Amino acid sequence: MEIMILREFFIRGVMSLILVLMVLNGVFGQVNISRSKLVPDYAIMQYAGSLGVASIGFGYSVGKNDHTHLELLYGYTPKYESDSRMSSITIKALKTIFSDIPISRNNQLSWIPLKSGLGLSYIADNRFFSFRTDLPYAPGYYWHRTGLRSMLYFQTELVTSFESKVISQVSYYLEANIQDIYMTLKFADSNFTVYDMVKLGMGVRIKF
Amino acid sequence: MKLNLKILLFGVTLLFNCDAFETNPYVVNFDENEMDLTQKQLDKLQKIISLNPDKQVIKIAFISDSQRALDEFEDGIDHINQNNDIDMVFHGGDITDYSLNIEYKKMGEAMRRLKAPYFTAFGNHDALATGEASYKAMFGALDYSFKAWGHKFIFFNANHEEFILRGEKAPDLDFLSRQLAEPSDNFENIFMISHMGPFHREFGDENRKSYHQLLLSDDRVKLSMHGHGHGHKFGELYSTGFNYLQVDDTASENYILLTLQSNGNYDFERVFY
Repeated sequence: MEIMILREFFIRGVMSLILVLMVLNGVFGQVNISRSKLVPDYAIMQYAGSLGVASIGFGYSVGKNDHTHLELLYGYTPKYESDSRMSSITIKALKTIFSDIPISRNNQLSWIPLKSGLGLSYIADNRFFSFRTDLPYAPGYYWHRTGLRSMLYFQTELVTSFESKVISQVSYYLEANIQDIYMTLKFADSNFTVYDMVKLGMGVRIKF
Repeated sequence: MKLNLKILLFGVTLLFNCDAFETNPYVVNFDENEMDLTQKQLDKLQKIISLNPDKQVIKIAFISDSQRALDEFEDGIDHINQNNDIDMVFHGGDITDYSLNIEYKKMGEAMRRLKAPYFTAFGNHDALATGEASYKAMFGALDYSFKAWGHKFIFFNANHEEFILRGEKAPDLDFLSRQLAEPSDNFENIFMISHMGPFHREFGDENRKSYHQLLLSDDRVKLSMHGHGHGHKFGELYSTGFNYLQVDDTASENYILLTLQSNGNYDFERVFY
C-alpha cells in the first residue's frame, strides 16, 4: 500500500517537476536569457527526513563557489490510521562546510563530507495551529506553534557528474536532522535518548 | 581517532535503527499491538470480573500527567505492578506533551507493562496536532464508560479549549446526561474521570456549573476525578458537599490508591514511590 502511494507520488511529482522546468525553460528561453536566476538549479526528491514519507522540491546554489543552498520542499504523509493526509512545506538553508573531495580521477564522482544548515517547516493542516491569532489558550500556555517547526541539518553527499547537457549532476545525500521539539524532550527526559532525537532522511538532487 | 570511531559507531547505529528514518513526527501510524488498548483492557477486565464477580472492595491506582516523565512513569508502573491488590489503573491524561508519535509509542509501550487493566482519560496535551487521531487509534473513544463490580466509571473528554479550535464541544454534557440517565441495573455507584476538572478555567466557565449541577442531580455519583493541575487537591467546589479529587503529576512520583466499597464509600491514600 505504502509502496503504491510512494510510487504514485514520485511519478506525479517528477512529471509535474519536469513540466514546470520545461515551461520555465521555454519562457526564459524565448526572452533569450540563457539561464535566468529564477530557474532552480536543481530538483530534489527526498525520503523521510521528518517532512513526510516523501518530499519533492527544488533548490538554488548561490554565493561564493555556489556553497550556499536554498531549497523549498513539499512533503507528503499518508493518513494511515487517521482521517486525513498531512502536507508540509519546508525551507532549507544549507551551507557546504567541506567542499568536494574527488573520488574518481576524472571528477565524475566526488564526495561532499558535510553540508549543514537550518530549516523551517510549516504543516498545512487545520488540526495544527501556526499563525492563528484567535487561540483560546492563556498566553504562553503552549510555548510552541504545533504547525511550525525548526530544525538543524547535517548532510553528507555523493556527487556524480555527467557530460550530458540535460542533466549535469546527480547527487545522493543522507541527512540527519534535529527538531526543536525533540531537543526539548531530550532535555527533559533521559528516557528519550539521542537516537530518538536525531532523525534521518535521504534524497537525490538532480542538477540541470 | 577514538572520537572518529565513536562518530562512526553512532552513525552506523542510527542507520540500522529503522525508526530513525522519520516520516513525520506527527504521523498517525501504529503497530497492531499498539492499538485499540481500551477495548483490549475491557476484555481483560471482563475475564477478571468473571473469575471473582462478587468482589466487595476494589482498589484503583490513579496516576496522571506523565508527559515528559517517562522515567518516573516507568518507576510508577513497577511500583503499581508490585501491588497485587490493585484491580485497575486509571491514567488521568496528558500521557504525552506534544502528541508526537514517538511519545504515544513510548508511553503506550510503558503502559502495556501494567499487570492490571488500565484506562485512560484524554488530556489537552494529547489533543494537539494529530493527537486526537493518535489517541483514538491507540486507545479508542474519547468518551466511554464501563461497569465493574457494581460501579460505573465514566471517562470523558473535557478539553474545552482544544475543542473550541475544532468548532466542537467538550465536555459533551449530552453524553454525560445520557450516561447518568441509565437506570441502575448492575451498578449502584458512579465515578467520573476526566483530565481537565472543574477546578480549572480551561474546563469552560459555563461547563463548570452545568457539570456540577449534573453530578448533584444523581446521588449515585460519588466522586469526580481529574488530573491537569500538577498537584494534589481534594475538596468541594461549591459548598454542596460533593467532592472533587485531583491527582498529582507523575514527575512528582506519587499516585493515588483509591479503595471503593460496594456501598459507594471510598477512601484514598497518596502513594509515594
